[in-house]
Amino acid sequence: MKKPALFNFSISTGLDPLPDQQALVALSLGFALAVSPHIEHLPVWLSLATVGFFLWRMWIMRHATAIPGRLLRYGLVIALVFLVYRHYGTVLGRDAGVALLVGLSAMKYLEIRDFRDCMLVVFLSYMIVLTSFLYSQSMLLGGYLLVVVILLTAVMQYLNHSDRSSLHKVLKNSALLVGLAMPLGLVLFLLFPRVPIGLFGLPGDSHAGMIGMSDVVRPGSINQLNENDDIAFRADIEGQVPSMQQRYWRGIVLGEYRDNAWRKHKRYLQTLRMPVPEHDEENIVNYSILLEPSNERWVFSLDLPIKKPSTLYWGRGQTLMTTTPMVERTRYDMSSAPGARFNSLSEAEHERYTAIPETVNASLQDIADDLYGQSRDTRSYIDNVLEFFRSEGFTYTLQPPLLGNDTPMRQFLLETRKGYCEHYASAFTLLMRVADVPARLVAGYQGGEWNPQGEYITVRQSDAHAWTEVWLDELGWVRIDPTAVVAPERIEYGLEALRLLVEQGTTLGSLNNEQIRAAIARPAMQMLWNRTVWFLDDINTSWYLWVIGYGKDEQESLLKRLGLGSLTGTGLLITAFVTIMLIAVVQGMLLLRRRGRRQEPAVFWYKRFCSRLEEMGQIRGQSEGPRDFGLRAAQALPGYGSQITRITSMYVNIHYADKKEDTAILRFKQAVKSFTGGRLGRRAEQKEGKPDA
Amino acid sequence: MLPTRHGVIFAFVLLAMLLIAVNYANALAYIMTFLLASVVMVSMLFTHRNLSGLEINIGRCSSAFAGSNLRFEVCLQNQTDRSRHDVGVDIEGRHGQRLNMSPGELICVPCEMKVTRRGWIPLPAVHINTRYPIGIMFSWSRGVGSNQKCLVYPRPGPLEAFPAGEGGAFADGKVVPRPGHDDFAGLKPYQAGDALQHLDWKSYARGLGLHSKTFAAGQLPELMLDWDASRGNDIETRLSIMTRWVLEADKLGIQYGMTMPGKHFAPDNGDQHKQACLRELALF
Repeated sequence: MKKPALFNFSISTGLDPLPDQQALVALSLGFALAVSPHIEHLPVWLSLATVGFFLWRMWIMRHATAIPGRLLRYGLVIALVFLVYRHYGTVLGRDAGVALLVGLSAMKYLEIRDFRDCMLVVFLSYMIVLTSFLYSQSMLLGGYLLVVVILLTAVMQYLNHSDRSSLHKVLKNSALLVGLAMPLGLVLFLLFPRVPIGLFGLPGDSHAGMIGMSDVVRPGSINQLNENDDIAFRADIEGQVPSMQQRYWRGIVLGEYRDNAWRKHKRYLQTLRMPVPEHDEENIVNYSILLEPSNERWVFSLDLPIKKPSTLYWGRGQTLMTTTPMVERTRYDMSSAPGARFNSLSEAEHERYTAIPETVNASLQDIADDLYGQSRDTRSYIDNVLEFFRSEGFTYTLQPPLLGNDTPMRQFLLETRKGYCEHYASAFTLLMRVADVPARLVAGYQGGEWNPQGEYITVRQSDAHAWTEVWLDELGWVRIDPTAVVAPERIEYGLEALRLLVEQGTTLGSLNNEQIRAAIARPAMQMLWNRTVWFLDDINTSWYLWVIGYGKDEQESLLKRLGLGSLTGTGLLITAFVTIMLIAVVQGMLLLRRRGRRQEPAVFWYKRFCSRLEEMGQIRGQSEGPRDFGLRAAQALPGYGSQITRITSMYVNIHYADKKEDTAILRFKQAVKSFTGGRLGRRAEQKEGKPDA
Repeated sequence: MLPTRHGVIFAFVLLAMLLIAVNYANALAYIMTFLLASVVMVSMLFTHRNLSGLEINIGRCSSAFAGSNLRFEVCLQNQTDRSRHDVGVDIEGRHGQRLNMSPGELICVPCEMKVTRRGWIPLPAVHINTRYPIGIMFSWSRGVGSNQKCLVYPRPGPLEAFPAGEGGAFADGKVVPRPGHDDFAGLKPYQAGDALQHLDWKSYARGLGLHSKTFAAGQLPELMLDWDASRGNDIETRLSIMTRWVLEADKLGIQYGMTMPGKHFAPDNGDQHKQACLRELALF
């Protein structure tokens, strides 16, 4: 029996004292862990200040000095708000808000005085962790979420515990707590009604600095194509996967050539209902696109899309777009029909797609005349132009020479003859227009890497491509890719293979397919590496598709599958509530389950002894200790006095003095047995159950 | 079970988190908010479990005199094979220390309470409570023990002269000096009730068992504490004087008796005799 120090009942002041140093150290670690993901996007001075406050607090703890005075603290707060305003030009919005939150929390941490402050710092730490997800929702941060929640919950336990015996136990308990909370959290996550993004409007700064596809193509202005391997989107295709040559991902149609650059036409977004292009039902490909955020409005689809999700709009020339810049990873389900075609071109469209600036027309007239002179119709003209590209020393290069500003395309066609897709598509389109053939430039992606692990196609920024569409009266818009003539490897094997070939010094177009395959075959190690990369990318994609991408649409389809399609808003909340209550009840029952109360043998035999005395008229009082009861019973039953005293003292020795040797218990049991006789024993046994010993 | 003050603050923090999650449609923010809300819910189960199956008993109270502190014990018995953490024991709204208990453990907390009145005093209600595990929720038991009573003796008065006894032993009204060892008459085996002052510790230390010293008869006169001899303005004052006499006489180890209106205690000494006398005075 443990006797704590004498209770001194002080009137509670309502102010819990400051927890001990161990708890403060645990709290400091939790706080540091919460702030750490923010360090990279906080202004440097704030990161330094936070670290400074941290060290300052450590100093205070170490040397038991006083926390800074009120005047200094208020001064620091004002300075913080001022500096944040200076830095961001506002104190609202995501970045400034996070900076303020971190700064003020660090100050709160610095001036921790009592238990309440400690708890507040834990709450603020949770908040800081949450805001780090506004910058990234990668799987790594998902793991971080779990770890940090367990650790901060452990810190809360540590603050509330007086027992410092085992950190391990606190962590285990915290993990148990979070583990049991997971099913409840999952139900809430799945069923909590979702509303469209931007309840209060998104701050403008929430998605700055993302790279997307430009809607202006200016050939010859860049002499080094960006080797950007960032993923543009992933395409998950149902059924037959299109071959490399078929993987044209349509993005923007650029129909206007002005100031040596291709641009999209004004009033690009089509609000009217678009006619569905003529297509073969058997050719339809259903697929979904998981688009990375680009801060742009273009959505890429397999050439040529015929069905779009309701959240998207048609752009000119059967392209897809959103009304607002894409700021998060989004999934679109679409259908395309390769080979689909339009069968009408209005007068206005004809004019629009043959328009060409007079100077450009003049500069290219003689070249076009040359090429057209030998041909009888539009189709042979196209062939002539392609043949011109093929046979007149044009080369594909990722580092083309810069072109002048006056007549860049003439310079390209007659002098440099070096370029990549933009040069060829641009020159080809212009040559068509000079001959009054309707033509337009299409910007998008071509190719993409097949991920056999996840069975989807990954398209990267480096797969960006431009090609031409020409209107032929009998066929409608026909895709013509002049790059394929100059560098068929680009189209058939992708840009990556092309790079490899160029690195090996191969002359493009000189090798047959087998030679190319041999040249670009990857060593076994490389294949293993690729497989790992594919695997990781697949997991990552699933994470974005099913966890991060879980929104309103996904919720609706899940509910439909569960047969709860009719539920909305309040109904969903009630369902969620009932479900988590049911789970909690089950958990509560498991937690509170009594594991068959274990009874010590000594207690069991003592109870028998007491029941015998009860029969003899001596009833043990509720709060009467065995010693007092023994004394009383011995006086009341003088004939049994010595026996009662002996049994009582044996029991007290075993039970309270903790002398639980088997022989002592055995002697005690025999003493009780001889006292009660056989008769009562059986009754008591039925009442109490056998002890397990 | 109710949220603590920190629980209420945390509820507001969770609400703010939910608003951020909804505004940015941020899946991880949703997950974190819902996970924390669920942690609170699960913690309620733990809070409840921390108290359930705990047996509270108010143990013996020691004798106390009015004006002093009444000491009693609050015993908590952990009936299960789970350990308990930070169980607070509150007495009439006042907080005590928090206890940690291992499986099956019995902890008795000594408590003190100032008593001013003699007679049967009810023990205060005892609550146990807990904020385990994370200080967000607060759970407590019903009050226990308010039906228990403790006996409080009257407040001992100032030391006054004993009443003059028979044979004039105390005629001069002075307290006789402590008997010296000259009066020692021999040893007899200890019997329950012998005055502690008369125990022969030397023989006990030699391992000869417990013996009481006896003193030559006639050396110590008997003292009769008479109600009528106590001078005082009211009953309480006189009870105080009587109480002091009993205590003093017991300290001296003399044979004393007591006469109360309607009750007479024959001269005797020892613990049981003293307690019988004090009990009579407490309940008078």
